[in-house]
Amino acid sequence: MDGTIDVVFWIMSAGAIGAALLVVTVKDVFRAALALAGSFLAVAGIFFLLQAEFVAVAQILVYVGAISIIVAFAILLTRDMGQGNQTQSSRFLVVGGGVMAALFVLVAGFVAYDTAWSDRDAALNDNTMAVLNGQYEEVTDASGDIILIASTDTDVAMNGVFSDSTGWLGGLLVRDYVLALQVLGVLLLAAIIGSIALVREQAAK
Amino acid sequence: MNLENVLLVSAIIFAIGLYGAMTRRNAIILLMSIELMFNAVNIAAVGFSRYTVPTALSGDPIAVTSDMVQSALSGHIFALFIIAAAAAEVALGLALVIAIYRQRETADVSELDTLRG
Repeated sequence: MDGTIDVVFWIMSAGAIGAALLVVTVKDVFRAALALAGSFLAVAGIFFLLQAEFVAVAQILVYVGAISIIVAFAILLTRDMGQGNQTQSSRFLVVGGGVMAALFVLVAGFVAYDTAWSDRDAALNDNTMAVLNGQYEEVTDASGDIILIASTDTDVAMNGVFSDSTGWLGGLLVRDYVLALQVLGVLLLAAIIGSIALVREQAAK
Repeated sequence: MNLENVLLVSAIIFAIGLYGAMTRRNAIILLMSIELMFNAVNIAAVGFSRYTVPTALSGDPIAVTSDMVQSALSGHIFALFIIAAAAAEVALGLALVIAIYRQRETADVSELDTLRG
């Protein structure tokens, strides 16, 4: 089972990285947009493997479904840009950008492999692990607080945080992060109004 | 598949986006490169959420409450907010590109030098 997940993860990663390389190297802007949609899809696959189903679906809806389509529309509205870069990027920029990207991967990779990350699966006890990944039930302890304990009783057991992340995320968004959610709504509204104001045909004076 | 590999993939995609943002002169490709970088950050955030222990849960807690386990989902929340902010950003960015294209007949960022002294 673990081996299969590894194989799928590396296939998804190779797809995401390959499509991302196409985005920044292909001359035709429209092909770059298609490669971008493919890269987003592969990243959504990685999210599924990381037990983030809701984020993965949001990624497909917003990135693959919406953003790719807006990009395609923008390319079609600015037609002669479909021919790609009219002006070649200078050698200086290509070499400099390549060196910078390689250095970034080296440094970030070194930090990722050199740091002793706490390992969740090893560090948590069985009860906490069941609340996160398995099933739990709510009980009231001696001091009247509601605590969560592992449960196998099918009548009362509820799905753990990562087994049912959608429900938990919904709870978080309307409780702990409700202010951020409202601000985000205002931001999206402002972005929509701003976009309309920018692209509206100027009325004849 | 472990945290190190997830972070490595995230770093590679971020570096590719960085390379694209630095070398390409087409404004739309520039925006796409920035989206790639957003995506790389999301992978890292969700990866940390999956593989690391929230402070509240480390050290063998006696009683687990729902507030404590919720912190395990912080990475997902980050990713969701970044996705929404990126959507707003790309909508505005493309509107800008179209507005500039109408006025200047170009989307080459190196030709947009109106403010050059």
